[in-house]
Amino acid sequence: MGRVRPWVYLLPCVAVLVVFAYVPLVDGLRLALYRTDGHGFSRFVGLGNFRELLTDELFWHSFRVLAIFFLVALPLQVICPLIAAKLINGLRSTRAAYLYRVVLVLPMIVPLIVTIMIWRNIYMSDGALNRFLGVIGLEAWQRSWLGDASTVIAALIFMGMPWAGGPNLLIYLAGFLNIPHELREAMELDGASGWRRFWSLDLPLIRPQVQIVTILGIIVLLQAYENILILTNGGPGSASLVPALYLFRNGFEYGRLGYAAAIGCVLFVLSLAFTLANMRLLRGDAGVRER
Amino acid sequence: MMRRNWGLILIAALVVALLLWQPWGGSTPAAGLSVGDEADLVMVTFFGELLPGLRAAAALYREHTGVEVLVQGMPYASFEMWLRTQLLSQRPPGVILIEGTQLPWFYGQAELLVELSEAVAAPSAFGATDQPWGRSFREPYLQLCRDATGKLWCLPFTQFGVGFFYNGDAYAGLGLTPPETWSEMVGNFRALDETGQTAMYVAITRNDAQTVWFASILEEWLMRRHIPAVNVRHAPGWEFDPYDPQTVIDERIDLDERIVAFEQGIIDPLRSPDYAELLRLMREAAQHWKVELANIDVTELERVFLNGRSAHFMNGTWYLPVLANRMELLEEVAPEEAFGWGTFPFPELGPEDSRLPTVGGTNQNAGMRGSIIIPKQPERPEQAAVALRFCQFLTSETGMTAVMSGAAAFDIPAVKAVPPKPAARPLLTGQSYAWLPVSTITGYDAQSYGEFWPIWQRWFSGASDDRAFLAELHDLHVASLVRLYERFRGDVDAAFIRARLGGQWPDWLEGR
Repeated sequence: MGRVRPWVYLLPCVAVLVVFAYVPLVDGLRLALYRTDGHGFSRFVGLGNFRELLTDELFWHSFRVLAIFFLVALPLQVICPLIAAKLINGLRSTRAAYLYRVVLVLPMIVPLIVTIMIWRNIYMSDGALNRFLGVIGLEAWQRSWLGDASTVIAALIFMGMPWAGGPNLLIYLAGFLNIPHELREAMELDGASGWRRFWSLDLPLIRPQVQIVTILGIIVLLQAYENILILTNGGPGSASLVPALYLFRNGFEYGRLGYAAAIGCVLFVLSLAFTLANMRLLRGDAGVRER
Repeated sequence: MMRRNWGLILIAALVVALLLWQPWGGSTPAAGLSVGDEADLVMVTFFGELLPGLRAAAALYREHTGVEVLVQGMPYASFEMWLRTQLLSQRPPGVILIEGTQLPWFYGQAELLVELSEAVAAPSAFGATDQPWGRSFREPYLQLCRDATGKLWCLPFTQFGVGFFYNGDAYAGLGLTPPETWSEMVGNFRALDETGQTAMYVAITRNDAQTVWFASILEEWLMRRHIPAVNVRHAPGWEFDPYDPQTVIDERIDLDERIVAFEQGIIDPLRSPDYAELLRLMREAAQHWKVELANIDVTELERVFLNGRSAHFMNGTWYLPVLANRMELLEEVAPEEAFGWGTFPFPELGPEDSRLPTVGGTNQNAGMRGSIIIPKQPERPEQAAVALRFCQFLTSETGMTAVMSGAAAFDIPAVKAVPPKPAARPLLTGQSYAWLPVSTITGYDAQSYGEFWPIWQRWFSGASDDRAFLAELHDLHVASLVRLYERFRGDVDAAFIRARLGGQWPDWLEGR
């Protein structure tokens, strides 16, 4: 009974996970092999949906858009909170550190939809941003931020500014707090500069946190589309179309559930691949670098 | 001992609670609605302004037939997702009154709705016994409800007259008058634009209606001359008279005819000169508009008009009382911001406005406002007959009069015998022309409608020129016809298609 009891306690949680996470996952794989609208029409096509994906120009275009987010937004989401956490951790005043922590983390409680609507108002033609540019004499810079294909992606990425808060900051802070003081003092006594201490001591010891933040960032970027759906719906044209939004459209607007499931499978495989690659790249003992 | 068993006790309690709740067993009422013993039929709509009238009609129906109909309202927000869940529940409401025809076509083609062609070809239980039910509808509303394959997935209930609400103060300042012709309207746009005012603010987004209404009206006018060439499978002795809407009353364009017309280039955007002409006319007007692609939601366009930042706002008859109320409120709370306003219908188009031959003038057909669908009920197949009978009553003179009398609605009743309310007249044209849906710029199924918007945005932004836009539109139309062909292959008459194409088969259908 002693060996069975932990399993019994875990059973409800595992049951919920199986029903609401794993079963849909497996069913999604099955759906990807069908041409179906989720209603009455269903026809087994094997790998037909995946073959169609290979020649779907819009699908590949969405990945090109996603690549831009990966190249720009992901580093910002990984590096900016790291810098912020380092700065907060280095503050001598605990009160100041607490204040900065609260200021950067508090925006998390604002519902995402509210944040999106605020930014939409900022980006409107007569919104805060264009008005501010007018006030400081930069009327030439005023534009339709979300309606211009050349600025829409930058506008969407900029929404996360300063990219330093949120759960990533807390993850890094926890990592910095776990670094033994003795090691830091030892390096100070050896005459190591601040940058040297960061590079050789802090960074290797918070490698697990960097790994987690990167993996989470990748997964979020692959799955996120809510802000794009509300702000631009993938437009103008298809300038801000990402794979997750394309999946949503095919599944719920076009009634192509099988095709959407196939896109979902591709995203799942990519998530897995990036996660494994990330774990491999950042693997290694979290030890101090030697000179 | 008690402490060690605490976890077991909690788990046991959870299991017992789940068993007692039994969400997976037993019969459940229709999702979200109670079909109690009192109601024989449930009708749902989000048209709040029609609810009092519908309930009055339901009460009258109960008096006539003893059948209890429960009329329920639901919020407009997220109604598309609500409809989807209802239809998938297999126990949807018996009758649903929704907006437009896109969703009926989508769910009809998914075989979730009752097809109504046979029903409208027979007399109504509440109408004239010597003529089909379909004849009681105002022309061409029944044709508007047919999809690209000619199937009827919804019944017309209300139509809207679409026109322009204009800023009277802006007009008075420039000495403008409400236009009656196309050139006068463009002239007004130009005059406003030249004085730095915004003639009209449009948002090219998926929930935008203005530009699609505008384009649809132009498309229908330009393509009208092709009706005889497309409607080749017609009643014996049929002759098309564009000035008589009655001449198309029993006609429909099915998928076979559409495939033939597309292959012949009549409705192919790339080869038909009418689409290029449509773009020319759109540009003639739109060059004076302020076009937003994604920076503004279409729901905010009204605010732009009310703030005086747009001299025109294109909308329908339902907006008349809304704007009147808004203006009254504005006069009360901020009289300095209130302004005079007026309306005019989409102006008359004539041969002088197009480089191509045209027949007739402007039809105010930008789509149905309210249409009725009857979902299939796999668990209660007898409900369809009950629902159909109630719909016959609703669309009878008695039923529709009861609805419109009790409703604060200014939409045009789809029933011929019930005239529009006088307040709707400013947005109605006097002449209607014969109309059949030869082509639809947004394509022929739900996917093409969704895919239309990015290419429409690219054209408006200048990212694609006319040729590129028409090429993309061609691809979009071809893809939608192929999907419909694959879906309804069993209904397609291949011999007819080959005969009309000189023995040839369209290469875009090769191998399918």
